[in-house]
Amino acid sequence: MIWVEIILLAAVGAAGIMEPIKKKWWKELVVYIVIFLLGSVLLMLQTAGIKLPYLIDEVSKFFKIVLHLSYD
Amino acid sequence: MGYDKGKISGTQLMLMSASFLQAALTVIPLAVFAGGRDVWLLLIISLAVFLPFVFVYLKLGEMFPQSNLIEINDRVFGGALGKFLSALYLMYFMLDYLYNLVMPASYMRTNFMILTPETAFALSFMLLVLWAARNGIETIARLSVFSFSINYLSVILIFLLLLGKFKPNHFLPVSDIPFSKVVSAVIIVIGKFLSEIFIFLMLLPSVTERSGIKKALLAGISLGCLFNVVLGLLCVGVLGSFMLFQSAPFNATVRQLELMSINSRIEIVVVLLLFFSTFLKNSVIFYALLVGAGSLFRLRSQKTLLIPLTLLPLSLVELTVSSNSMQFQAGRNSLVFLGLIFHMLLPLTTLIVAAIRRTVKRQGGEDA
Repeated sequence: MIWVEIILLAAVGAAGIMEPIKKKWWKELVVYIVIFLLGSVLLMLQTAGIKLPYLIDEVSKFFKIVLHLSYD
Repeated sequence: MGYDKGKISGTQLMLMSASFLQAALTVIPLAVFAGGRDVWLLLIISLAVFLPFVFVYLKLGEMFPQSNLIEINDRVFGGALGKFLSALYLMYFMLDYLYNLVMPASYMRTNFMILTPETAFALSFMLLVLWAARNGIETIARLSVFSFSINYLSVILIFLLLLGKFKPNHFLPVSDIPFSKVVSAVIIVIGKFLSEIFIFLMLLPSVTERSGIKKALLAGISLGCLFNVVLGLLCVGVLGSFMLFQSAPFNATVRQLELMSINSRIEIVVVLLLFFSTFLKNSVIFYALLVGAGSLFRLRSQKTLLIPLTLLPLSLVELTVSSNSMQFQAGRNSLVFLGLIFHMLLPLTTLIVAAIRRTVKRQGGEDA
């Protein structure tokens, strides 16, 4: 499953990366690669079954435990 | 503004902001939780309390007519602090986008297609949003005309069809909730619903008629809020206290319709409403995210970020909230407070700092 995902991601990534390379927009290319890699790694970690924290739950915990703000 | 040189008129801004606020089907349960059968009254009170903040956004737009929020941060707070605040804003926009993807996806799964995973709904929403954002602000503005009209016509039609089941005594006694509960309800409605209009600060530089921005935005907010007041009135008038036990009050209200053989499929109206309103709202948020990221990194074209900025939220859809029950709870325990910080506290601070800097600069000029 993870290999299928890698192939799909590589295909999608290659489709978008051509424009900045052709136009020699190196800053755009770096931002593209960083955000794309971040998304890809997160997807692959989930496919591999690794538990990651839930975003909104963590923010709720921060407000509840640190700032003592809650509607419960 | 990078790749998109599109411009929108004042009327389009009005319809866009109204459509943006119409996407409240998933917020109504939050408002009902907060205000019970006085939900419609609390929406009106919240609008009155929130209006001064709209003037804060308008004043910021007036002081920096050619700049979006990210550029305003750069100019007001300077390089490092401005960039840090802008990065926080973009993270918040991403979280808001995720919540606005997950909520309708979960609504669809829970109420209509229980065997379909939420990610499938979210992905289909995201692809549509990607298409809209790729075509630019003009396309989103043109779509808002359809979204606005369809939403209003559907609700008016449902209202007329349900008039027979509408019981005025369901509203009585009016405003019997304690003041402290009114305050907390108003905070919820403003923090998670009304103040989201703040995101239009990212779009104001695209408006052609600068003089008409104030009128257009105020009219749009009023129309969007009126739509939700009508929804609230409809739910209370038809369901009464029964509404308090519903996770999707509007859905339960529409189920009361009895229309011969198509009775069992009348909920398609709710799906249409949900689809059009959340599509427009998510398009605006995603467009703001795209323009914001482009401005933050000073890119020559934000279009290059379309694919990575679609992939990143896709990878986070499953990580947004842990369970369906947590969505409601998390919405009021995190996004309400985040909304108050990002939509009210920070813009007010930005306006005060900008005003002080402008005064100091003017005095410096006079002294010289």
